[in-house]
Amino acid sequence: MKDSSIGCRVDLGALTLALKAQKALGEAAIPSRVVKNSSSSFGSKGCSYGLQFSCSQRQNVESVLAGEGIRVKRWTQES
Amino acid sequence: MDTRELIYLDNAATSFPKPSSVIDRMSDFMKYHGGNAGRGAHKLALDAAEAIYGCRERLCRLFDCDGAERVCFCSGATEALNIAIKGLLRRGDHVLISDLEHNAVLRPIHRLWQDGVIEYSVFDSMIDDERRSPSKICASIASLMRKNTRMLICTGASNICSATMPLREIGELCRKSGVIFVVDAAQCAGHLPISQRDMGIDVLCLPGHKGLLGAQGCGAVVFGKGIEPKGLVEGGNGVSSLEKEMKGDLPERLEAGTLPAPAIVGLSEGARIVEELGVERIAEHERALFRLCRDALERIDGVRVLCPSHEGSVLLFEHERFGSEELAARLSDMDICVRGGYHCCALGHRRLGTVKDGATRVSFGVFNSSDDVERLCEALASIY
Repeated sequence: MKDSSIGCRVDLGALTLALKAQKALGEAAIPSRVVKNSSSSFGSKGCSYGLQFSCSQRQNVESVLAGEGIRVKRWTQES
Repeated sequence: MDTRELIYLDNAATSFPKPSSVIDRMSDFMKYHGGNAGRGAHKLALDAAEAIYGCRERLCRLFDCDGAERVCFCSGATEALNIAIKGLLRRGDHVLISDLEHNAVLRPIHRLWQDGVIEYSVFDSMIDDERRSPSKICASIASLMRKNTRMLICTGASNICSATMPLREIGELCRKSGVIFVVDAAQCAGHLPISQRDMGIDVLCLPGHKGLLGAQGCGAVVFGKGIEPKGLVEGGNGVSSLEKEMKGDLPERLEAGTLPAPAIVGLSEGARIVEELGVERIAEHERALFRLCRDALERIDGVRVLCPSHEGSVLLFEHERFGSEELAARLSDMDICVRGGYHCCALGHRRLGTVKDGATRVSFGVFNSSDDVERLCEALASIY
């Protein structure tokens, strides 16, 4: 069973998109935090921005972002 | 310099004074929130990013755009137009521009023509034609369209008189013809209502320091859905830093280097004030000042108002005894700021037949009053 207290992350690329996504999630009462990723081993090609949120909200986050037309580069779960 | 007694009537060049809340927001930002947006995820960097995103949202709402992420910041309307022109046109394209365009349109277009990249034609705004109507202007545009016409650039409102262009009708014509519609909103943003979506505007070019009451050095270019320009400047933008190419989404793809966050915060506050006052109300205030000024100037011996039937924030006139620069200098000596010359609008002055000596421009802003108009007219009446 997944532990929902473990942070999930969505990588969105640009900071503006991350802020747009955070606002949309906020309007859906889903708390999130803007995070920056700079590890090349993580799969990105340099700096990128995304959101961290509770994994229990994963489905809701997917639905909100899809509704806003926001393209997701990568979903990850912190171990 | 003590500006309290000054009559400022050059708002088409830049609005003055700036609202104190604009100055306060900029000052507070530099004192307490001055991180670099998109260059980290610490508190100050994110504070700055949120403030900048807030401005994108505000402009998006004010101009009814397709999304806050389509609002890209740049130095002003001139850079915005250059991004639109050089970022979207391709070799072999034909471009239409109006005969009222500012040099910010004419010069980059002419340069591309000189370099053999594009061809262009100038369409008639019918500025001084009594039969002027949206359908006649559109018919004149349609007659100049070619198979390779790819872009039409049009000012929303002239910077030398208060003539406006029928943006909705031109936008509809462009949409039907598959032509990219670029609007120079330098003189209408914050002065007249603009809806990017309703008017079918593909690229909206905005200065921040005129009707939107922000600081100089900041403006925006707003792209409609499906319009994806190449950037003109490459560099760091905080995204995909290991790549040699600057790719990705708007707005970051066009925003290399550090953004002028204090100016953007000021612009956001200026746009908030415009929203609060209401653009229609501002427009009516400026039209009322125009009518008052026009009627008073027409009673002064030797003064001729050009395009008197186009009412709005800009009034142009000639004086039979003084050249435009001499008149502006004399008024300046009397603490009245107006602008003589050609106003960087070669096409428009040619159209109006004022190339020999230019003309004198009075341009109103939201903070002008009827007292300012009276002082101007008294001063002009006293000059012999």
